Amino acid sequence: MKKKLLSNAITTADMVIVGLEANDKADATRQLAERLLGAGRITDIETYLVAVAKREEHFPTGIEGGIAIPHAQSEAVVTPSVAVATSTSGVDFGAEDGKSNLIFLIAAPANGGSEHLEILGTLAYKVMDEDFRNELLNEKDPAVIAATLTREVQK
Amino acid sequence: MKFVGVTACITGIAHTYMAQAALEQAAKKLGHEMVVETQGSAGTNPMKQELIDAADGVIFAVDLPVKGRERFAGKPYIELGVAKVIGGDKGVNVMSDFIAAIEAGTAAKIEGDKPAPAAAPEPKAEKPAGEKKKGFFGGLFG
Repeated sequence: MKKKLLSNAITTADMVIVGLEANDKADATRQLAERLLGAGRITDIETYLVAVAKREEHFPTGIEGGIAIPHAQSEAVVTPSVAVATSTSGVDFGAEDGKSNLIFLIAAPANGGSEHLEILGTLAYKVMDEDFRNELLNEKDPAVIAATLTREVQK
Repeated sequence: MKFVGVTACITGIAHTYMAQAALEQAAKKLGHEMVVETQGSAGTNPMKQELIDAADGVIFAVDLPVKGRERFAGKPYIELGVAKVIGGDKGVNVMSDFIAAIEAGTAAKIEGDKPAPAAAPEPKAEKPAGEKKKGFFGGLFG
């Protein structure tokens, strides 16, 4: 039984990958999901990844402006979380204008309370803010990225 | 012009809120007002009927049926998939085209008659939609 010493923050430095190198979106998603697993945010990586892939099939989450926001609600998710990657080379998430350089992998519990889901909604909302995105993209320190994100969506 | 809208996506986690941001940004860029009701997994925050009544047009960016659609009856509207307003200039283009249609009198109107105020079935309110997310109206990092 894992100790439940989970932070309330939706992300922490160990869930941030600066300079991600990935072959494709499945690889990128897996690398990020491993961070969620390592941080105790998900219990079963395969179950979670299947849910993400299934949602991704509905329509891809790459968005014009170099963003991707793969996400899923799953029983494998312990607490609402987001793993973040910046990638100079970029990963193809199906955006119309090319690869995504800023990737947010969102994990929502299957039966999350609305206040938790609202935090994730706020994150999705903030991602549309270009200045916010640039602030994250230009930052090299995972701890600062995690702190910036948490500050903006949980205040 | 004053616009109101509803956003909703299948999982109700991300695109609902991205579309909200995109529509608000589009309105700001074009010098109009936009209030969005997000019908997501975090719940729905029904907007005040007065806002709907005062609106010049309604934008539904949804992958699901709009809850309480009858509240918008009689208003000029446009309805499209949630992804159609997210990214690049999509939101701005959608709004510009819609404005042109409203001005030309060619915009479709939402079917039905507006219910009497007492009959308006508003889902249980948590907070007014306009106050739910501070953001582009409340300063850059509102």
